[in-house]
Amino acid sequence: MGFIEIRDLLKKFGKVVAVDHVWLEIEKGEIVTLLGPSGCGKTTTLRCIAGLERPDGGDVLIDGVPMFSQGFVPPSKRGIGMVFQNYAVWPHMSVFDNVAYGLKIARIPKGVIRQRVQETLELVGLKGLEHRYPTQLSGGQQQRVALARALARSPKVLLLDEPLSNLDAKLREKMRFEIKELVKRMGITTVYVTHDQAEAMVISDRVAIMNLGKIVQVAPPAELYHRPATKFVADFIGVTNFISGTVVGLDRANNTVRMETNFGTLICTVLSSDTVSVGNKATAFIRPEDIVILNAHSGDENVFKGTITHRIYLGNILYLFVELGGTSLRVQSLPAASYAEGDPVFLHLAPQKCMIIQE
Amino acid sequence: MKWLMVRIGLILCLLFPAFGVWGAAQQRLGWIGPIYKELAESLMRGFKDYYRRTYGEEIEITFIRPGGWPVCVDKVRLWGGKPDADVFLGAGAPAHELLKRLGLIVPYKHAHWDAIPGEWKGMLVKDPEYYWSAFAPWLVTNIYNERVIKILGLPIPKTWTDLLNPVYRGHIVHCLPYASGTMHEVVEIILQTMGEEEGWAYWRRLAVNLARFSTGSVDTLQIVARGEVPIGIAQPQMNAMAARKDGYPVAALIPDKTILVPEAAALLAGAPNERNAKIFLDWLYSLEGQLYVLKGLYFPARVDISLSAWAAEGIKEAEYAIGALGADNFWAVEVEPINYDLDLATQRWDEVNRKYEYEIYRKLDEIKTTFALIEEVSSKIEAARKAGRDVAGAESKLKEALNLFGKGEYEAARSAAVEARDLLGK
Amino acid sequence: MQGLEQAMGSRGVGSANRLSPGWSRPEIILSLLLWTVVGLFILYPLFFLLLESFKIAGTGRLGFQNYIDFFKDTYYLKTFANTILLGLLVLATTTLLGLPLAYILARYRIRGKTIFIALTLLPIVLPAYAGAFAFIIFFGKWGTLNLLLMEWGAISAPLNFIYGLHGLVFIQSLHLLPFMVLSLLAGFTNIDPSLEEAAEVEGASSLRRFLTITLPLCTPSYLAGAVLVFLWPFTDWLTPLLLGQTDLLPCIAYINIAYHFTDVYRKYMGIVSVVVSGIVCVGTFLTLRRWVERKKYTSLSKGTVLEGRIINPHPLGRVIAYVYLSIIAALVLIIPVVLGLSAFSRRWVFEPFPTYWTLENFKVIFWETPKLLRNSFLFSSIALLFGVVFGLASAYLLARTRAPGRNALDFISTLLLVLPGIAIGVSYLMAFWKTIPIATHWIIMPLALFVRRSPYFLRMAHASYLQLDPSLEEASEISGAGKLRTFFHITLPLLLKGIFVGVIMFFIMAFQEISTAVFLYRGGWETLPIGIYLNWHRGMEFGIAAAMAFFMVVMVFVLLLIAARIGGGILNVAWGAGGRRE
Repeated sequence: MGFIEIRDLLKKFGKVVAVDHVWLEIEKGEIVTLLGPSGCGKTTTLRCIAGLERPDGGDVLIDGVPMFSQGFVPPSKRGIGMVFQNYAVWPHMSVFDNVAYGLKIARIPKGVIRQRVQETLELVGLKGLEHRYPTQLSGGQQQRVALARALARSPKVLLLDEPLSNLDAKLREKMRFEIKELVKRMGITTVYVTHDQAEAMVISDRVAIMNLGKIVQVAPPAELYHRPATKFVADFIGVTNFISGTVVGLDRANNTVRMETNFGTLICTVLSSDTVSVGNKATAFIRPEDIVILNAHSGDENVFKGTITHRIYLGNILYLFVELGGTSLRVQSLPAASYAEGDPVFLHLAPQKCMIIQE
Repeated sequence: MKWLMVRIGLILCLLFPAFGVWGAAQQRLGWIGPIYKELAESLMRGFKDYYRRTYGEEIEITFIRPGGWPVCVDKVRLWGGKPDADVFLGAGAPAHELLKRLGLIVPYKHAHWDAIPGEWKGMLVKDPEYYWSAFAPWLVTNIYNERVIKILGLPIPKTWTDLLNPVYRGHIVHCLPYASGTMHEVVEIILQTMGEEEGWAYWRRLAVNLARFSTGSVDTLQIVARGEVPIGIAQPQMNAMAARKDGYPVAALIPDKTILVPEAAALLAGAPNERNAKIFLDWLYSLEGQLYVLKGLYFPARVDISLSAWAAEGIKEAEYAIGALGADNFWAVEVEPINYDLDLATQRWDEVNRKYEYEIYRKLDEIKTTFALIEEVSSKIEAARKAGRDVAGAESKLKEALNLFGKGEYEAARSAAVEARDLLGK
Repeated sequence: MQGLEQAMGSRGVGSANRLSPGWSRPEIILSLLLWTVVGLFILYPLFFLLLESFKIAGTGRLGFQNYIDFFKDTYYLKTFANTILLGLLVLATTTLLGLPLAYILARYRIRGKTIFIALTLLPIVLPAYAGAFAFIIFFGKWGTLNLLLMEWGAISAPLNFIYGLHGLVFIQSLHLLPFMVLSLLAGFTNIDPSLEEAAEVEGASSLRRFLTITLPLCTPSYLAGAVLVFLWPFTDWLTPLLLGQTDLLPCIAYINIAYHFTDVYRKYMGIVSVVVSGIVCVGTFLTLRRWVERKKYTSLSKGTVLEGRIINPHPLGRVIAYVYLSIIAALVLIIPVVLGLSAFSRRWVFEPFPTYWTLENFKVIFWETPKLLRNSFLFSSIALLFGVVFGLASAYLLARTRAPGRNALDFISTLLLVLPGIAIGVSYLMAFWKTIPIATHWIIMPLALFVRRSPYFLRMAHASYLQLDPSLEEASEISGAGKLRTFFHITLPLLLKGIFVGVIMFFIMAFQEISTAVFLYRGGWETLPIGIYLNWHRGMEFGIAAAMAFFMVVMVFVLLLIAARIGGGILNVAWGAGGRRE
């Protein structure tokens, strides 16, 4: 039984199904990110957890208590903290009043409030700014105020709705770490929503990738990266190459497959050999960093000859686009490498790294 | 800080209504009627003062003037026995007879009943059954703007027929008979003295000289006072006096045929403040009340008033009144009003209004063009006659056209005029 | 409210999959309450009026006869046609005058622009009849202008400047000019400059750019103003009456109803006139609104900006611009100046300027008949109270809930803006006389004012609400605050600017309202505008009427300044959504 349980959640806006029968369990103290492109339903799901949207079906349970099926529990009674995309810091109140707001409502004695607010502000790195007004603060500082406000009441659950998307890149990176560290230290169960996969990878214990209202895969970041369940996931996380072909041979014992592509026979690994059969079309994927460049044919399997068509220099990485028999593969290389466009190269695609993937 | 201001603001807002409730007087009196503001204010001042002196209390008086007397009577009818006022103040015999017939007023013989004459030159001044009596009589007059008349070089019209003179083309203004009791009475004066046929012909011909129609008798006064149009028809006698007081060069003309309007007061049936109303009526006809009537720029009705005596006491308004009346007391004025058939007028009230509106007001453009055509042909006939030609046929045809015009058959009149013109061509 | 929700929830687990899509019980109750108000005070009287118009005069039976009579009568048809003609003329005049004005204000860099804008907008908050008075005094046959012209020998006989259709068109156009200018201004300033720059790059001359890009992009904004302008003659019965032009629909409606005496037929013709005016106004507005909505060219989410793309005009152009602005400003200034001169004098006749100065007029208003002032303030304040409560509740319903019936509520409130005041006045007079006798109590006055002017507050509140980020309220709820607490601690303070502006606009418009009040008042309930009307039109007391009007103008102007200071910019105040986004 998870701390937060989402059961068969359904939410429609008119004819559009935003959240399509979603099931998810989040353990206590876990940080789970809902990741996906815009319109995939991640924010709607989050808002259902918060009680800001009412689902058309299904339920959300927080600490075992249903939030919808036995009477609607309003957001004010759920004991959660939330950080909004645009901070939602109240401009007509000072930083102190913003953070103390929820504490006042909970009728906590003044002295305790003062102490709590000071502590929380120090926690988020805003010590000494309690009498400033939000209009006098930078974006990043406002974000911290929002965070402080959410954390001040020691909530059971923390919800964050794309909190960093309005900040610049450097700040975003910094804040990612800070939020993760803070939340872990306090042991709060956290649900995070973002469309930035890098952010999700850094922050989360597990990531739930969503598309078109459904959860496509839920897994820790590494598994998502190395064992994506569908093409969509593989494409969304990181950079990848897709190779399509026809299955000509199947080796159930080793879980490998021989696939005929337009540049040769490729030996790929398959997670479950039940899903492929000889004669069918299939797609394999391989990450750019897993393709090795050779100067000459090594004699192994899965070595192919190709020509470098583009060279993309990013400072820390060099991407080479290599053309083999009609397919273009992106290969990662060391920046210092002296490959030039037009050079012939040999690529080794290790069978363990070539994975067959579902659509 | 902001919140404090908001709270103060809210409290102030709540106080405003309270400010309204304070000051509700205990004694009340309500008037409804067509009298003008100056008179109403003068009477209010006078009576409040009297009431305070005599009863030691303040009395709150409301006065509404929804319009001319027909509109006022209509309002009383709408109240249907539960009136919002106590006294019908103003309007002449037609109004009060109507009120009496509809049972909307009740008789009350006020304390000075005998000081008011019963009738004057054949016209009723008070109701023999005590339902109403005049307190401020006046004659129906016409007015003109002295300055503009002089600038335009127009002669002063003395009789009704004078007004038909083409020299006044576009220089006359009056309102529609349904909008003003006075105007309606003037229409009736013409109809009764000239006979119906001739009377309607007269109104059509007068319409030719109109600059436009005004929206009421006060509007007529305003337009003439401002000089927009120099001559105005159908005005109470005192209006010129009032305008003069404000500096407007307006003068009144008593036309050759006029009637008396015995502006009267009556007690409304079911009046909520009957006691106060009776006290008021008693006061109105007393010498003190009548003095305030004079101060309101109306003529007092008591037979025993001597304006010169009052003038000698330094009362300015008495001087104005003497100047306007040319006599020491209203009833001594040298005028022969016509014999006005009140019953006939009341009977055909709506019919006259409607006929005027449909046949003259709505067809004003047509009237003007038709008459212009007739005049054009007439001058052609004159020219032909001077040239020695035979104009007998054309003349009789034109007479026919004029006749048709008088009857309101404008199109036929036009064809007749055209025929007359053609006859001339031969 | 929480208690209610918990109580509602004891339905058992089985209902888990049949939850209502976003409506909550309190929201429905709120919607019902608001609809009761609307139903009782807007729909019922209007329906009563409509029903009455189908009662054949004098018989009490129902039928179309009244309408048949009306439309068969050439006179009434002519009146109808006249009103349409007047509407078109006024529209044409305001467009012709307003286009250059708006263009100059939007695009040119001009010194003293704020003052010019303020003056151009002044007529909005002046009652229409104030302008009529001032112009009659100034432009009359023996008024200031004619007298001066004759003195200087420019003319030998006075010219008729205003008594006639041309005068009416002029006065109404000047009164409506601000609406047109504001609409066009909104249009001009909201055009994305890059749209015009693209045309410039393509080689279009400035005139061609103006005609093919700028103007067409303004169309929806223009139409919004055009509708209001065109429909005004269908509701203005007083100005034409003052000028003696009575062959117009609203005038005959007023005359027929107020003066029908025993002629029941005339009264019903009056009622039909009112209904016809109402239908024309509502119908035109609806048709145009649909058309405008379909072609939204400029993004309105940017809010109203004071300046769009700025051009530095040719020196000659600049001079012409200044001259033009000054002429318009002068015309507008005539109103308060002439009213002021008349207010502080008496016996101003046949001379260009008054010679006898006195404070007596004001003495009369303040000392001798304070009843008018008291009534006006009392009624307007109470109406304001109703308006704020109703408006805030409705704005909340419209902006923050998906409760049933809210779109219709918005629709009706917009309709109230175009419905002629006579319609409301007459319908109230009839509907609340016998069956529900509210009209016998003075509360009917503030009630009618509230109903008629409610859109002024509601729309401002609604717009403010829309500009308020919902997440600010959601954050409050998450923090543990219930809906009510959130409203008072978060929503209200943030809306305050917009609300304040709405309050002031409502108060100004309620204070100077006459079309409805004139039908409903009884002895002792006269408001200041009614006093002005009575003094001017039914008595010779020009000075007092002018003093009253002048007082009202000054008061309105001061309130407007306060609103501008708080609401941030005159343009926002008079037109746009109050409350800036932080």
